[in-house]
Amino acid sequence: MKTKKDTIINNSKNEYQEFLFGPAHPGSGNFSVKIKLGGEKVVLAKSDPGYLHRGFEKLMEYRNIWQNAALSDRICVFEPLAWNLLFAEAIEKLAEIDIPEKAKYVRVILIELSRIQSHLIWFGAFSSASGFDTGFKIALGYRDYILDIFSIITGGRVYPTGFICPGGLRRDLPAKIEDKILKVLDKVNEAIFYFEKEDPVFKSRTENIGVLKIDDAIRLGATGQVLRASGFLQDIRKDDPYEIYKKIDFNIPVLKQGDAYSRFKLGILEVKESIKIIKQLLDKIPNGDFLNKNIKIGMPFILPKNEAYVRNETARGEGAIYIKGDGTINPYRVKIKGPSFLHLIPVLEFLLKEAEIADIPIIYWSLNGCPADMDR
Amino acid sequence: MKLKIIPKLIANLFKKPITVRFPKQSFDIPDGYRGKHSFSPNKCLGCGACARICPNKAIEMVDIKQKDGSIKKQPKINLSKCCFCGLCENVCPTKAIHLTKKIPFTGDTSPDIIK
Repeated sequence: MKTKKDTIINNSKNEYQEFLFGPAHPGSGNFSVKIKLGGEKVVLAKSDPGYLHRGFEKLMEYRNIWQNAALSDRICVFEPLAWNLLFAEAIEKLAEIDIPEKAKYVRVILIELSRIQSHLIWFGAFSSASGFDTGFKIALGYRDYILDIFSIITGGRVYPTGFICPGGLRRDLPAKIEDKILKVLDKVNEAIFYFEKEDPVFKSRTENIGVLKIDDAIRLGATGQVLRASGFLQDIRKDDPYEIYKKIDFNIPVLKQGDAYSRFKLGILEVKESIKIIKQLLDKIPNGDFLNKNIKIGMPFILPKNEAYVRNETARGEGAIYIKGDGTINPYRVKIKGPSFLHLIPVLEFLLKEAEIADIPIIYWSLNGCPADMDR
Repeated sequence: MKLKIIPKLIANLFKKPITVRFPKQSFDIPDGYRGKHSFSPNKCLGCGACARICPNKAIEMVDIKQKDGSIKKQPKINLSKCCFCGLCENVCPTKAIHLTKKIPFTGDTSPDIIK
């Protein structure tokens, strides 16, 4: 005999409803998904990007490299330093600029700190989406310690505005910053202690939700932790090492389940690896220049008639920049590949099919998407 | 057990709050923070390098009448457009413009914000 609950969930009357998840929804963050519901289950989900489109690729064609370095922060709000580095690397590859050893070390330390704060803000958003508001407060509170370090090093809490610039760094490291970073890493360990605890309620909300099997993950083009949580070992820091990742000893955590809970667990393991990387590098920062001697900050130079493509492992997955010079000070073409594009369109649409309405925010946030780098 | 929360609760009762009463109080702002600009007109040459490098076109060169009657070009900074990247500071040949540690940006009238 059919109960009333069955009628609602399984939609025996074949009635459909359509609604928008986002873009001005507290659970989605400037991104919208058109959802067709049959009962309580999603029949069809269609991503509707573009709400945060700012036209970076076109803007960059009208600006010189220093202005573009400041602009590149805003590609992803959660991890501006990663995009700073990508843009600087693209220019260095295009114009064949060497960077000093010290700059490479500081860059990797900053990028790993940026990865930790990006993961923390993601833990917060994910906790909030699953109804665990305390997690949101813990994550954002501990993230601020890292932002304090950024404000000492780069001069701004969130936006470094081109601190990692073509040729090295905009300015030198302040004195005794290593001790301050170590203290902050202890604080991050405290935050990880809270998130590592197995909360039965959180587990029941996320386990076996949004399962992405390894074949589907590869087929849909997932990268980064979404792919690694499905059991595929891939990390550009190991596969195609940039900066000084070749010299560093670190592991790539991989989990097999591919559900929302394993993606969250993998995030915690990645933060631990990042702490390990920073601790290895802090004692070894060499003395010397922080900027290539032929480069003067603020003086634009002519970009050669050539093209370059660089890719990095950002906190969200594979980010890449293609740049083409035409013999002027402005680039002829810049193409930005954000990691969230493939996660929030094909992967999200695939995972939302047959999902229940209450699981939509959990599946959405488990993919660690950033609408800003997707819409660009 | 669950009662572990009680000692933590009592300890937290006697702790100082982590927040401060902004704007009367503020945290220690580190040296090298990119805050409000400071501009010294005497040092300025009027070359316009800051206006050319500004990514957001927040700096405009305007004619300012001097005491002796001559006219000199000087930058006018629109803080509502500024992204505080500090490139104007880097390119200034005489260091006439530099970013300070001042962070409150509220104002009642437009002259408070546009200088």
